[in-house]
Amino acid sequence: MDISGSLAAELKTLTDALGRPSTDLTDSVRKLADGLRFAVPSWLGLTLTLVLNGLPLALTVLDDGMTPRRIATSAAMPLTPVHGAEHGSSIVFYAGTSGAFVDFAADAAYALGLELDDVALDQHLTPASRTSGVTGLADIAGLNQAIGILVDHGHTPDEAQAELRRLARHARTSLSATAQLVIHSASQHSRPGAL
Amino acid sequence: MTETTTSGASERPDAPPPGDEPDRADRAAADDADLRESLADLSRLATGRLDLRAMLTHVAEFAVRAIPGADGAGLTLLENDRADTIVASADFVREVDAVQYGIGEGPCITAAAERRTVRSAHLGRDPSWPRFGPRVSRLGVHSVVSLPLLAGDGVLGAMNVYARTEDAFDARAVELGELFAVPAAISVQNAQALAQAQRLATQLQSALTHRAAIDQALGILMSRSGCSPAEAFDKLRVMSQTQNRKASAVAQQLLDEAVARARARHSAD
Repeated sequence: MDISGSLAAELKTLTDALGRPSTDLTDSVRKLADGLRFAVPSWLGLTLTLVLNGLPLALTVLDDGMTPRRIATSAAMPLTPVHGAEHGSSIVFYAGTSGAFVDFAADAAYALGLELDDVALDQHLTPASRTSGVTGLADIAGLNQAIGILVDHGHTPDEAQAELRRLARHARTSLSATAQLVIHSASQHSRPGAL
Repeated sequence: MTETTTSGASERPDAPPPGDEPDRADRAAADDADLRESLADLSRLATGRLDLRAMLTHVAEFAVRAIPGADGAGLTLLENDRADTIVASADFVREVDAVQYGIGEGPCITAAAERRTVRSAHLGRDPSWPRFGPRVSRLGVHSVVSLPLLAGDGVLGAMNVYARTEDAFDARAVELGELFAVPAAISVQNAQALAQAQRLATQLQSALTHRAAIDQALGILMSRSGCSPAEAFDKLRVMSQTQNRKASAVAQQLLDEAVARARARHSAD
């Protein structure tokens, strides 16, 4: 599978963050795509969503730009039991032939220790993104930078997260928007000499 | 279409001797029952949240039950045309496969490379693998059936079924093995794809956890200097170069020290 453009750049950024020479996320995505094409010949793509600190990161891999129009079936399953990922983490597979995931979904349910009802067939026929790429990275980065700011102000990381949630609830806004407010505020109230 | 290669000095005739029909019918019925049971096990394979190696080992164990005459079996998955994951139902299979992949010659390699079933009745005298045969024969293993695991146009790997006796596998055993190999290949490819998906999710989560420490450290630098995220990243890079340490290590230290200060302040309160 050809992995290029923004997806390649985003996967390289994440691979660099891992700091393990033996792990290349681009290679892992390519192997997964090839494996799925073997298992389900009409496979067209997938969206892997991980929820971290309440914010989703979605990796979408699509065969090509025409994929969204060609999707005829999907299989979605939660990742929570396997990875300790937060509620809402999931993987959705897309294919172009109706019924293509019936056997695969049954195997997947058994393999992941899920009930068959946990595997949703044909309920996600529109991918999270129309093109391959990673969404949500900027929001997660902003949230962590805001946590860092609050940690520097004397909060532990857990307290910092709780404080951001409290502020978001109080202002009736999103966690991401609250994080951006904290970042903006820090840029106006620097503490020169502290470093 | 697979072919069956039968090698060895003497072949067991597949037609039963006169008077053996009832025995043969009983044996065939028992073989069919074993195959059905093994196929049913195959379909229930993953109930215990098995990882890929454990799942493949179970496939090998079911193959031993499904194929009459078998003493042990192993599965080899290929990655970039090289043996990648190798599992076995018994220790002696591991020894035999270690010889095979050590010298790069043997029935599994032939079955996968040529996409056909391979059978040998007398490994020690089989000219197909002049180095492999005599060595495994000295280990007390004399018969083999190797079945390619086919998926569409590709080869996932191969399944090796071994026996200690000579001439252990007849045409019926090969037929049952080929019947078993079809759903086995499907289960293997589904499990392989799921394992790859799990691996990717784990790597992604790990990458995000590492990035979280870096971003939190950037936040600390932003808090102290009022700089933007990009400027904070530049500062972190300079610190990394000055200290001759990875940026992630510098970030983790900054974060640990800030958290320690926060906790100390809490303790003092």
